[in-house]
Amino acid sequence: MSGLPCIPLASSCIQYQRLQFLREQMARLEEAWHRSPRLGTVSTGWPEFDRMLPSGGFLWGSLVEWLSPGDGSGVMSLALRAVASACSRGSFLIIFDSLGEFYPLGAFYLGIPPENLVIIRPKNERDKHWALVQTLRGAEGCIVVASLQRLDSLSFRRLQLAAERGGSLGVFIRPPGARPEPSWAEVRLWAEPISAKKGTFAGGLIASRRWQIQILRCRGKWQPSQILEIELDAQTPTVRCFPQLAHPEIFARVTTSA
Amino acid sequence: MLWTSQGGTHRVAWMCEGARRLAICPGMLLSEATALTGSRKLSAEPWDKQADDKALEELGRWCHQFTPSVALDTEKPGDCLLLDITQSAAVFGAEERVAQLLLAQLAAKRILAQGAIAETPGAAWAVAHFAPQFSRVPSSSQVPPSHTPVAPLPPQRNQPSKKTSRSSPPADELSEPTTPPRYRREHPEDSSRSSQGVFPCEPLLIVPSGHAVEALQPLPPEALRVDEVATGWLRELGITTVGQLMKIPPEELIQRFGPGILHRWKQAIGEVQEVLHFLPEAEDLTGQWDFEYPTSLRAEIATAFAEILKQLIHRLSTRGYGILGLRGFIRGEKRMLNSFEVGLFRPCVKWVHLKGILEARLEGISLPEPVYLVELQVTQTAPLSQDQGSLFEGLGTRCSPAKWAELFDRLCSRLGPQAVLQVELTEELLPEYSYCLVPGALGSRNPGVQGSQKRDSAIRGANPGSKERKPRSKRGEADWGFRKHSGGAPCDWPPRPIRLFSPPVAIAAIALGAEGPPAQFVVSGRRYPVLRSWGPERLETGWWRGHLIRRDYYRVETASGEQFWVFRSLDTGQWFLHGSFD
Repeated sequence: MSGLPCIPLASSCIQYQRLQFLREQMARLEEAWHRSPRLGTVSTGWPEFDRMLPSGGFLWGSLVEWLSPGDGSGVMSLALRAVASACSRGSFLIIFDSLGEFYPLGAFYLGIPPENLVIIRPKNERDKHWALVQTLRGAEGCIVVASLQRLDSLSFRRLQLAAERGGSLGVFIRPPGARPEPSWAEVRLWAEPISAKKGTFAGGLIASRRWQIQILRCRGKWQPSQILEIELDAQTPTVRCFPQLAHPEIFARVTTSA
Repeated sequence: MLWTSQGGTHRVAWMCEGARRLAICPGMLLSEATALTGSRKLSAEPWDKQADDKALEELGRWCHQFTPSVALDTEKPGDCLLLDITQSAAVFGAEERVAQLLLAQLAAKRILAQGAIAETPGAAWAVAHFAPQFSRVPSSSQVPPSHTPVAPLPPQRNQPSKKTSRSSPPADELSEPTTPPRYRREHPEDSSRSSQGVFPCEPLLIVPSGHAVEALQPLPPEALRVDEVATGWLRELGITTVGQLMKIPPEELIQRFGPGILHRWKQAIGEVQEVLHFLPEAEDLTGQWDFEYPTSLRAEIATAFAEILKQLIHRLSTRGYGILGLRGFIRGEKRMLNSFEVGLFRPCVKWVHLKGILEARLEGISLPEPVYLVELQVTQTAPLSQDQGSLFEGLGTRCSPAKWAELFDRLCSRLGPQAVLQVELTEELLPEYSYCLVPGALGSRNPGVQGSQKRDSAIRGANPGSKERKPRSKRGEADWGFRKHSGGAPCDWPPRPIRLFSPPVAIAAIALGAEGPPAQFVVSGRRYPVLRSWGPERLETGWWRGHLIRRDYYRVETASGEQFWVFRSLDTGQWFLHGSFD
């Protein structure tokens, strides 16, 4: 720590400032790592979302973690849609389907060509983790998608190293209970569907579906809580991104002070 | 009955004698053939020509025990093996005896074959394929050999002889006991076994030396292996036998039909040599490791296998061949403890890779008692392929075929080929039948992977029962007529869920109208009020499936934003949850 400048300790918010400072330092280091020319990215197909990520997309050789509220929430669809552009350019998509319930036509609808789709059905958790490590390490330029309920930090790290070594992209769908757990993912995202009742659907089609995506953690960007709304049109599977509107309380405060 | 697709229609390719009796013939529309069967049960399967060719090649290699010169018929591929048995006569006693033994052993393997011996491959082929149609005699199981008419044989046969065998319909279906005197019929030696009901043998046809012309003359022109166009013309001209054909002066024959027919005739009577491409003899690639002391340690067993593997790889790699299939045996003191098979997607001689696969395979094998001996056998080999390196290799580039093959070898060896699946879409609309999963089938997709490794047992969607489904053409665009957006998915297609429950889950639902969407439904005790819904989308099975299934599908969104795929059965009115838009 000798290289670091002295932090004033007398401040009342000393702990907060210290944390801020360390976060900035980390961000600078990670930003330099992101600018490394050897790494390519997978564009999500949503320019607004790509801009929120420091590398302009998901990095090859890394892990992406989507936290999903539960069945029918559409987070898996979002995750697949985010990598569909890479698949349509020739990358293989390897899906881990332990329950045997994955429906390929659903993925086809999202833009994933069936000829680039491989389904792996491991019999148990042990085989699943072994196969995940093997595919992440061996399938260079491929996208590996798996739904993981339990994942300890050691196994997570092993998967991250495998992806880094293999040059693949791992996309994991995790339950909401995984939020407080440590993560080795490059990007951790929280997505939840916006129901028609509470959501604002101005301009959206009736058959469309909208989610709120929040970047919980992203290597190279320390600011959390970046929120984006994404709408997937059910008739024409196109995606629209909506800028996050100001919170009503903030809007009221600003207008009052003005 | 086997069918094949021709010009978008299913046509009969091969059929059993029972189907033939119902006037079903090759080229007939499958729907017509099915209609002809009436209430009789008729099994119709798609014809896998590649598998047929492979099986015939394997049979040819098996025939190496009779002669080293076994060739596949390259001119008219499909059902015929050509064996040069001239030299084998010295070992077996006589050429007839070689052929009789071969036919008897084929019968023991439950393969019904028609054999013929002649001076030339062309003559043997013609007699084997077309002579029985002129003169079918009851098989050995029906008529004693002494009843078979026998033509006189010349005392000595010094000419090199060819023997051909082809698969034939079951002998017990044959009739019309008339025999032309141009060739002799010999029954296989152990026909007594046939009469005991083991399996019938076809009699052997022998064209005596110097009698090829006489033997060929009553046969139809197709017996000369000429193309269908030429035979069609000949039929129109009223020429029904080779004898009639050969009465036409050669110059006129060439002028009218080209040189092909005359060339075939000359090949058949031995005036022109025919080049045969003999199958290479399979080398016995087996290695054993005899333990000094019996062991139960898996590490030691794995090391023994690895050492055998090293020797086998050395023997193969010097010839430019790689391993495609391995079979391992683990023996105890008195019995076989276990055996396993390993299939590879690409010929490989990388010791580390193969060793890793064997180790992964050994992990799942039980060893009830100490091991005395291990044996490793190479069951399949193929020439090694060379890959061009890429200038821009690095992160994010597409995986090379070699790496793919290695990865899938590893996955299949541990998880099993049934756990590594690729998708083929079909033309069916019902979700269960709309796709099939092909186990370990990267062969047809990945250019670097062996196509022969494609497994023939596809998992048919969520319902493995259905069989007669044709994979949809690439991406299904042409067949479904959907427009596609730039991402590759169809535009006009209603959304499909990511998860499909098999079987559909019966739910209690309340609908506002008799034909409307559900207002709420209950799954596993949890109530889901429906906020929005899309549908109905009516999906029905085709009439050819027999039992008609009719469903009205709805995509419903609950108050909390989840979306599910539910349907009402139009037969029973029951609601089902079929999928979720995860």
